[in-house]
Amino acid sequence: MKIEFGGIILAARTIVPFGPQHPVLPEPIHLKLELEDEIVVGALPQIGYVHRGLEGLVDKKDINQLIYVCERVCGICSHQHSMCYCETIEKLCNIEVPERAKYLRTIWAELHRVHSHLLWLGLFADAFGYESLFMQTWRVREKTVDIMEKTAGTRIIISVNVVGGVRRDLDDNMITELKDYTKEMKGVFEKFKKAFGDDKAIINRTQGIGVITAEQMIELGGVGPTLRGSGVKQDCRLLPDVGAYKNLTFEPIVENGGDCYARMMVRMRETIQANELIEEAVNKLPAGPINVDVKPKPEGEQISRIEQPRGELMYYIRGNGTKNLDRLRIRTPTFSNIPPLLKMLPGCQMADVPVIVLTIDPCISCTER
Amino acid sequence: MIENIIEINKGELLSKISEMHVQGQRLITLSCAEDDDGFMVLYHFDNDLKMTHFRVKIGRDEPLESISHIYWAALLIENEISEHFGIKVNNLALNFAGTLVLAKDSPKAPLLKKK
Repeated sequence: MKIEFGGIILAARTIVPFGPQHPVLPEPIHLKLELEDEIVVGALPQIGYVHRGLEGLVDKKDINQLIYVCERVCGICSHQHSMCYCETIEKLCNIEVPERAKYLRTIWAELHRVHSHLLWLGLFADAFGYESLFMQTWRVREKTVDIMEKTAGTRIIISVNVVGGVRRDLDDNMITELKDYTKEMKGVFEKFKKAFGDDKAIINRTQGIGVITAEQMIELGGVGPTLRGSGVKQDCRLLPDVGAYKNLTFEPIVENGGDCYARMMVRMRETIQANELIEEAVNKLPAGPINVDVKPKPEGEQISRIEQPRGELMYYIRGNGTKNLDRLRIRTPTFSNIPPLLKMLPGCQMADVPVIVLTIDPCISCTER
Repeated sequence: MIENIIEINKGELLSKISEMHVQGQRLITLSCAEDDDGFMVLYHFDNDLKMTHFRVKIGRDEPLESISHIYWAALLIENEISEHFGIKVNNLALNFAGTLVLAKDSPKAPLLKKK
């Protein structure tokens, strides 16, 4: 389409397909970008490349088997999926989880946040061409997944959650290793914060780009670091029944810029905070059992929410008193952050699109389930 | 059990959702489940971590009225519900016509148990 003013052609509107391959992120989201010269004026999303229909497995898998299905909704924050699922069943069946299990779940949840945010920070650095920073963040991420392997037996999909608690405990050696890890990471993460936060090239590439206000974020249902980057103090770790957070020193990280820089700094500061939460939880870890033996056959419906690295995760469960659920509904954070993304893009340069898309930390396999 | 569930009928839906919009409530999502005689749809809202839910019941062949003209973000959720359960959603702000998460040759309404 041509736009004319006084007989002069000002700009031509073109549709440019973006994705499903992202320059640095292997998550298949396709955007139809409407451009006026190099400026984006509109965007339409298309997903559906990795839809698996996992919610449909409620008929085929029983309540305990579904824990492992839920873990496989996402390959990055798998622990939080099974944690949210188990907490929903526990609430529905009035199961009292031992305190030690709540702390252990919280420790592994925060380790997942650290590795997820480090993964994202590395990809983000790669997206704006800072490859050495990408390599450094991923090098440190390896130490995080190593500590998960030492404490849980596997690196990412750790399968520690069961209905009624966890199935792995930390021995004294593991606790010492965790303490050493958090001590070492303190200094490392402060260096990363300086590198990401103070570098002029990064600031120029991210500040004032992809701006979205707090009002727009709430209107469009945004969640997580994307929402907190616009100054909204919303975090499901403040809920009283999630893990052991109510016993830890926790205040949501908020930045007010609403731009790519603010969203990046929320994740950077949350990485530091997660490390502090792990340290505090390890120091306060109570003695006692790690699970209760239950054979749940839930009846009725229940909802739970927890804070994934990408934001609020919600599980809705309806049970019919048998070993199979009647309905399992999973609302992942990326699903909620796609509408705000479409609001961030208009007005930006085409070259900024890969950076802005990355700032919602899209996980499309989560989104499509 | 879930707290703060308000049962409403189909005719009240848009006015109730508009009230939530005016109050500045954040739409979390919609959850749909199959009942014996049709479907129930839950509309989940949040304000400062306090949730409110509206439950609407519709018959098996009844259409659902879209709330995407009030909460634009609902259009992706409503398109997904339409594809998963085969429910017709009226007045969608953007209709993906069954191709948001499914392909043209995918099984139709894959989450529907009573076909």
